Amino acid sequence: MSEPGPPPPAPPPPAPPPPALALRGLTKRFGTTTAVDHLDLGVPAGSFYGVVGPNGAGKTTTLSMATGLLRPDAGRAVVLGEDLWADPVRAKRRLGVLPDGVRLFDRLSGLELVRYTGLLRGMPRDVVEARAVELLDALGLADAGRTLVVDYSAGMTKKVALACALVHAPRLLVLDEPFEAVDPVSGATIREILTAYVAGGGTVVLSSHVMDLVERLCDHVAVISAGRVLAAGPLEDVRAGARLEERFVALVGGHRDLTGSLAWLRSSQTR
Amino acid sequence: MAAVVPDPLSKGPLSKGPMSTDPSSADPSSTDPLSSRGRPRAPRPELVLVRLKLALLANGLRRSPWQVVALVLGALAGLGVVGLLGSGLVALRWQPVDVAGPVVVGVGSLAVLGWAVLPLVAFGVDETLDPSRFATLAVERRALVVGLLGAGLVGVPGVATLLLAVTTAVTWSRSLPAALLALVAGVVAALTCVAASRRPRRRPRRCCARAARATSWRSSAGWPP
Repeated sequence: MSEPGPPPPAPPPPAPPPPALALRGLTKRFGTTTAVDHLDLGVPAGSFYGVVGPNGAGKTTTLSMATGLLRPDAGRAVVLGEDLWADPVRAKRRLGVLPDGVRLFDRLSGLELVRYTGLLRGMPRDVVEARAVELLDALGLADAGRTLVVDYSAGMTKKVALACALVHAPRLLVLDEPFEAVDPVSGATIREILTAYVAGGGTVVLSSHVMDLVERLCDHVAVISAGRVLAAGPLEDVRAGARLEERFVALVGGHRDLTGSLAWLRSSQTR
Repeated sequence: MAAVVPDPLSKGPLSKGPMSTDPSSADPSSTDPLSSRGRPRAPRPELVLVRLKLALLANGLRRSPWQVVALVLGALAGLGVVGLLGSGLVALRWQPVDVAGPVVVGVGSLAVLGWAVLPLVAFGVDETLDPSRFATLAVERRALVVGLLGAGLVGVPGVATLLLAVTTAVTWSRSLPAALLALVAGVVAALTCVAASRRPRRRPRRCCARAARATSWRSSAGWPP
């Protein structure tokens, strides 16, 4: 399942089209803490964009504001040229979202869930039907199509949520931690679907804190910490010759040298 | 097996997806350009929402026999209430307006109050169709509000309330215009009940917070964006 060796560097996108997603001065405060602080980010169309950051960096908050799930205190999110918060319905038509901690109608079967999602998006019945079957098949959920989603495993839930995000053939797909709680086989399936989606002209933005995965999959990356973008751009530029993980730690900081501390944890030491 | 996976994406109807501009208008052509011409358009989201509620109910029954028992008992209780109050409303037809008016208004007000308060103090609101679940879908707000109101009538309490509210048309069948107006007002009253049962936002789990917001008259009309 795993491809040996580093992936070939993704070809640079042709002539810079308008960005698929543009965040301008996005800000969100919760009480006294500022979760996202005047964040700017441009995601070129056709890119596979990874958003990385330590826990609590504001990744989920940022993506929620970028996809219409959380209203920003300030700033704009422009999805495929449409100001999302000015006209959410219009912008969401071409946007697919896989939120973290998805709340699905879990009393539906997988097939029903994808079907109703498509119908609520205003798609004709026959198209929805064909795509729902095809998507579940591609995601290896064909046998579980009649099982209620509440009885799905975490990985299956993630996959069926992805199917819901894809059913209307969005041009921009935003995924919050799509590989969390997903077993390696399902992970490989999701990776291949996303890669094929980008190859077909779609744009993917995903958040993760697994650097290896972002390095392998994405052609662009943004490092976010404390609600700000520390570095963003093509993967090669951001990692600047080093491994992404090293660059990440160097950028984010806060890594402590543990030599000499926690001595009591060493089993060789007797009392 | 994994190598086969992207295939449907690159060859199937999805392949045109990322390129198409509008999923609702551009997509039928990608499956079968001939057969999809002149077909009925996509079903209205309002109706889809009502059907979704029915599907959720039906699946709940499929999952556990106790749900069936609960539904049957609930339906019997509902039938009893409708029979009792309904016959009362019919009986009021022959009472003077001074009596019938206050009784109908009073009982109606209690019903609205019950819908507003009971879900908060009792077994949690019916969250099957929490509006926030539709946040990622491009559902027009008007369709969402109408559809959720309609879906809220699905179930024993909704049907019972609607039946009783419509029965007031009998109480006021003293003239044709009065009866017609009562019919319309009854439907509006039933919808008001459903709207009152929705709590504004799901966040604090504590009852007092909910109750506080419930009493500061609910902004159910302005559903979360």
